Amino acid sequence: MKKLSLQFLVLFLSPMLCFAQVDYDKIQKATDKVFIKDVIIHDKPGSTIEYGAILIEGGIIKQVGKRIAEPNDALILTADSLHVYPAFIDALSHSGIKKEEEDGERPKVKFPGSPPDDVAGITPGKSAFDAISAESSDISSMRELGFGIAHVAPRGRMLPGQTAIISLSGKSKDEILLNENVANYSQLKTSPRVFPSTMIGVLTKFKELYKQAEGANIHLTKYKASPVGMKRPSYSDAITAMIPVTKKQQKVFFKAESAKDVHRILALKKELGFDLVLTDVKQVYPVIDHIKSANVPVMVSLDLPKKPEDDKDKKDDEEDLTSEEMKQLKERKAKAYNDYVGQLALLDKAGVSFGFSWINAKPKKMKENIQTLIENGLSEDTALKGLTTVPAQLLGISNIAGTAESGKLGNLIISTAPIFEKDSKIKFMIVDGEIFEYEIKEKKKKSDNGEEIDIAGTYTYEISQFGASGTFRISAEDDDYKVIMVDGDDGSELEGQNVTREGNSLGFDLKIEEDGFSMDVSVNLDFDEEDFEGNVNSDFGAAPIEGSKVDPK
Amino acid sequence: MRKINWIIACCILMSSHLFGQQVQKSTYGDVLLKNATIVTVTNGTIEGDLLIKDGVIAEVGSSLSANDATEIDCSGKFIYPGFIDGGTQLGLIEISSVSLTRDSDELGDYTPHMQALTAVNPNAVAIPVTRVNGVTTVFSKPTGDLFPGTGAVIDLHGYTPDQMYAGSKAVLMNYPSTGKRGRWDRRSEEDIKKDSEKALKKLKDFWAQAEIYAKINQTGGEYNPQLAAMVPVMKGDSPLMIEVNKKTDILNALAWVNKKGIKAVFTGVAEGWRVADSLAKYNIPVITGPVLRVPSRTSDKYDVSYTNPAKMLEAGVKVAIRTDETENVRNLPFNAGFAAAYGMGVEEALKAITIVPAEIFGIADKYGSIEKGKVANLFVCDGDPFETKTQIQHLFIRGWNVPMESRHTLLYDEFLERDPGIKE
Amino acid sequence: MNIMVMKNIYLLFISLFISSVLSAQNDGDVLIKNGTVITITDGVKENTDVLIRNGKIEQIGEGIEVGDIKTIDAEGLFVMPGIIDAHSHIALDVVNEATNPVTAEVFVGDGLDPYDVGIYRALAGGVTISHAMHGSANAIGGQCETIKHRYGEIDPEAIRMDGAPRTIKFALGENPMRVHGERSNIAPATRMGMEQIFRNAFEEGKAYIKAKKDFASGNAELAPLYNTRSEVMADILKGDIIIHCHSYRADEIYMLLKVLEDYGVKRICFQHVNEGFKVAPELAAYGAHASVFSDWWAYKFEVYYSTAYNAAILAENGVVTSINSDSGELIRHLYHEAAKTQRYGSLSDNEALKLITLNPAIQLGIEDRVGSLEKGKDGDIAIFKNHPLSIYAIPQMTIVDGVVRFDINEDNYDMRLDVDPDETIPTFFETESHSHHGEGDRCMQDVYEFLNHKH
Repeated sequence: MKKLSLQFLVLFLSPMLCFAQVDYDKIQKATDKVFIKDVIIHDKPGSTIEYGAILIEGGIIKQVGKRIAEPNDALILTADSLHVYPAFIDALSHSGIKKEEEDGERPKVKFPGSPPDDVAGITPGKSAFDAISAESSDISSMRELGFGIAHVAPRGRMLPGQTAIISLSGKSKDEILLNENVANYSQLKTSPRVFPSTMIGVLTKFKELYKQAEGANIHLTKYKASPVGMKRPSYSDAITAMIPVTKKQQKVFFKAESAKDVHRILALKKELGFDLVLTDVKQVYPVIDHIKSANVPVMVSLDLPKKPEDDKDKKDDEEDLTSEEMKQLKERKAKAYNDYVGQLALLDKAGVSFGFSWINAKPKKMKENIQTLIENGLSEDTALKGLTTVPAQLLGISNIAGTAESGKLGNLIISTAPIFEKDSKIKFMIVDGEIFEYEIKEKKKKSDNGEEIDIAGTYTYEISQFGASGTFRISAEDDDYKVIMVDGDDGSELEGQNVTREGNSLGFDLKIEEDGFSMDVSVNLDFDEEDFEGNVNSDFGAAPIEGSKVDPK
Repeated sequence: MRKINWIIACCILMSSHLFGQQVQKSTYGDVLLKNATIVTVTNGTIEGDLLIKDGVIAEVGSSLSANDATEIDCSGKFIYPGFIDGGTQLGLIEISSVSLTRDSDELGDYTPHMQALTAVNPNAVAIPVTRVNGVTTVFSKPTGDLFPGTGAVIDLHGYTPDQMYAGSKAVLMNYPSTGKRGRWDRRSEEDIKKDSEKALKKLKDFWAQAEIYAKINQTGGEYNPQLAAMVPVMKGDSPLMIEVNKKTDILNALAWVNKKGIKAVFTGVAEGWRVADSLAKYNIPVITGPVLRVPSRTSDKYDVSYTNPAKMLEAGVKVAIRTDETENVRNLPFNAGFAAAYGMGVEEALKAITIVPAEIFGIADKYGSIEKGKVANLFVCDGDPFETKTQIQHLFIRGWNVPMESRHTLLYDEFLERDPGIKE
Repeated sequence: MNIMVMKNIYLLFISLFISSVLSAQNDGDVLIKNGTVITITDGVKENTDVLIRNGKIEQIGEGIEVGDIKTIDAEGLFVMPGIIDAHSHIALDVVNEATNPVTAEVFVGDGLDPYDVGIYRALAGGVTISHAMHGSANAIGGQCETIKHRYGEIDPEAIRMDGAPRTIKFALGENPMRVHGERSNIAPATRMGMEQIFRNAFEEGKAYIKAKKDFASGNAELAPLYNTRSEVMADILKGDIIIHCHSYRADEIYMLLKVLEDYGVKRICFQHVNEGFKVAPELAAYGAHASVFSDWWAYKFEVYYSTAYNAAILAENGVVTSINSDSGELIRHLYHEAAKTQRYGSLSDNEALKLITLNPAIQLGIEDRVGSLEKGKDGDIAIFKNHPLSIYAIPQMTIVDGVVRFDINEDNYDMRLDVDPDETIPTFFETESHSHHGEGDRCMQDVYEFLNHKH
């Protein structure tokens, strides 16, 4: 409470300070009005205003529409035919909070079973805002990706603390806070070497704190009514900070990455009854029905799995499985991948609204991943809702953010094309009326350096897996290559058959005979200046081979 | 309580009265086992008699008689050759969690000169526990790094290593693995690959020295115990026992062995079924096991370790079975029994713990079957020795009539009816 | 048809195939015909049928005819109750919260892992129920969960055996002494210290009960601050939780009997209890149960003076005895482990089979529902080719609540429920546990991590 009033004081004082002292290292703005015209306005999910205009004044959207008079005292943003969207809202992330050294020196605890709360990672009262650095590059990089507002959770272990909503305007810390102590952030994250060192310890501790907070609340209420003769309430910060959760005055954003964790957290909610927001869920598809029937909001993670590779990039280890096993595995992986990329379309179909959180997912991959989801059935509108109106509503800021309507914060994206299209680029971001312009880089086509290197010469080779080494002598006449392999052990020579060159790769076959044992081997070498790398393939499987030129250097 | 238990209890009481604390000792002498079903392993099953004389099987036939021999009537009973476990730490480790009782793992990557026979404790409590289940002979081997040492085949009776030594030794090698060591192994795929490459380099370097040593040693070089231990392997006099389990590792080991031109036996070989044809093609004998082992991969079929011996055998691989155990080597017949049930068949599974390991260790002239002239390592039992409930009645090792007694039986005798019983 | 569509149809087909393998029918109706039915409580019946409806055994008899029901031909096969493992650590994401000598407050049921392929492997050994236990790092470990092997279900809640009594893990001897005394330098470091840990914890429970009573009767203005550990200790004192105590030596077993007697706690099953045979008459007199290994010994000092005849001695002395696995390996062939009591001892077939069916059910307090084939009991069944006590026994089919969860004819590669699209191929493990050394000791899982972090 103390912190908050201080904040108010600073806010209140700041204009006066401005008058008192002018900082000539800063440019004084000519106007706080911004006028954007002739743009396609996607003012809210499912709605478009073709060739309209927007007026922002004092950081607030004043007018949006088709026929708006161009003011003469505004900055006119040249954005002809560009697309305007409400800026995105990050439903939960650690933006602006430095990553702690997690494996650093931890305090020694005499009784690992009962460590101090902070060592145990139990700091539900800790403020995210205190930990935010306004100068953090997170803020500008989130903004560059289209975000205007972030909901920030403290970093930590099981109960890291209280979340805060901040503007990504890049202004000073005094000016970016929208709302503090918004929600409780919880995770199933253990505390090494001390209790709770396991997930079951975390769940036990959570339940216990919750019930203790309920008890403490009863005590506090009774004491308030009539303190005479009653033991004075004195509870730990952790218990005190959980009281609003038990009274449903505060939501719990509980991180649940896997379907298994979703089940666990839903069971926990069922037992205790708090207001839950499932957060950073990565694996949604197996639990869609459960989420729907629990009627719980979900913040999904856009941390998508990689698309299973084609046959081309065969890994060494794959040799281990039979072709039947490999076929089955590939089919299952492909199915699992499809489940992941198709899950949000199904979640939407089930009528569950969701937003996106960024605890694990990299915001930089947002567009690429949303495109993948759209290709797999997600509608653009739903994606846009997840980035705007859904988090706005959940965070209780839908009256000031989430759409590009008049009266709302001047938080806009101005994009060269519809935002989820592949070639779209963000040209401007406007946050709290501040304009940020981004250079649109033309994608340079990589000019393939097709220059062929001269690979003739003598090379050492080593096949460490077989413990074999020696030299290759490679010579060329026009385009006919000849390879002689000289065994490093006994000096015997062997000529490569079917030698072919393609680009800077050389392929040939060897028939190795020794003590009546013979083996057909095919060799493929990729040359890079003086060195080569490649593979030796035989009945026994593949082994890497490498080597470098010894003559001529 | 059933009558039989009263009878057992009375017998125990009587025996303790008669003999007090006296320990039963093995006895040596000629013994004639009469009227048994003799499962010879190599020459079929015979109804007849078996004469043990001077520690060897003197005669197998019908209506045998011998003047001075103690006669044991084996009507309705079976005689089997003693089982041979192709890989154990028996005698090298007394209690695995007490490090000072573990003598199986010397420090260092290159310790082929560490001799298991030196550290085998003839009085290990687990030895009698093992032999009363019909396991008379084991290969006891060091464990650990690249070249952990030299293992030895021992009979499970005797008071000195020399009395136990069964005439075969082998140098062990752990082929660098590209698998994880266990669930607790947190190395990344890349780290594992790097480690295995490092180990291959070590192998290469050590091998180069061993090769040189074997060459110059013939013309009288300086004595180097570490490299000297490798000479029999280099000369092809003795097989190298290579522990290798993962498919690609097995194939790489196969290529390596062929390149080096040495005699090798592969041990473990958990994924032998994946490369059974290659193992057969290059005539690599295998000592596999344990059969009672969880599959190596979460995606493996649940019975993959039960069927592995059968699949290798089917492809033409010479397969022996081991437990890789210390205190529970006694489960060897059950490991063989599971292999039998899961495709190997009783006859072949029996071979896999008798004549096949004897052949692999080069002692088949003396071990591994009931044949005239072979060492009298055998037992008499009341049924199929793979069957869990079968009881073994008599046990002979090198002709010694060994009492059917171990810590486990002694504690049973003492505590089935404890005296004093409940307080008061 | 374009390629994308074809691919999707193909994948759909695959997914149907996989799900059909794992949960062919879920209604719990099945008729098993003409088997040799080993009932455990009512002898062995040749050529007999077992009818299961809605997951419960409805009828056992000859020539049962029911129209339109999944029918299994068990001619020439042995039909027995599903095997019950009174000590395992499968299907658990967490085994040990090893930070405190007393962690009665934690509950492994909060960390169930229905995806564990170990469940399928156990089913392939005829095991339908296991007691998923907390580890043995602490004198009083966490509460345990009795699970049904409903492999194919992915909700952790779906594998709980609803209505099974609550249980808790205690542990004596080397493990808690090593973890706390030796490594963390806090009591208990001795078996003397161990006794006092229990007495303290029970005293805490007593005080908590009193504080609650005082509040309820108006003698105190406030209820005691909620404390999960004390709640659990109080429930043990009230007899609501069965203790399952990891133990080895006779002296420590006897010690705990005395402590429990002092606090009036009746329900106790000693686990492992390798030296139980030395105090078998005392265990029998107290009504304590014993759940033992068939033959594990000598992997640490406190099991050096063991005998594989332990189960036989305990059973012959009237102790309710079971054979357990404590291992992802042994759980696959508990039928064979039970048979070892016929080599090391002279138990009859029925007595030996009781060790893995009715007796563990009694120890878990679920004998009214499972453990034998009787009308009204759960349709948990294991079907074997060859007698289950034979070394040649091969489990053919395992049924849980009338649902086939393992069928040898439907078995395939990769029976995992979930595949990570990012994985390359399933990792190869060199030393999966096959014995109690090395990492075999699942009882100490998660502890090594805890200990290793210390240095």
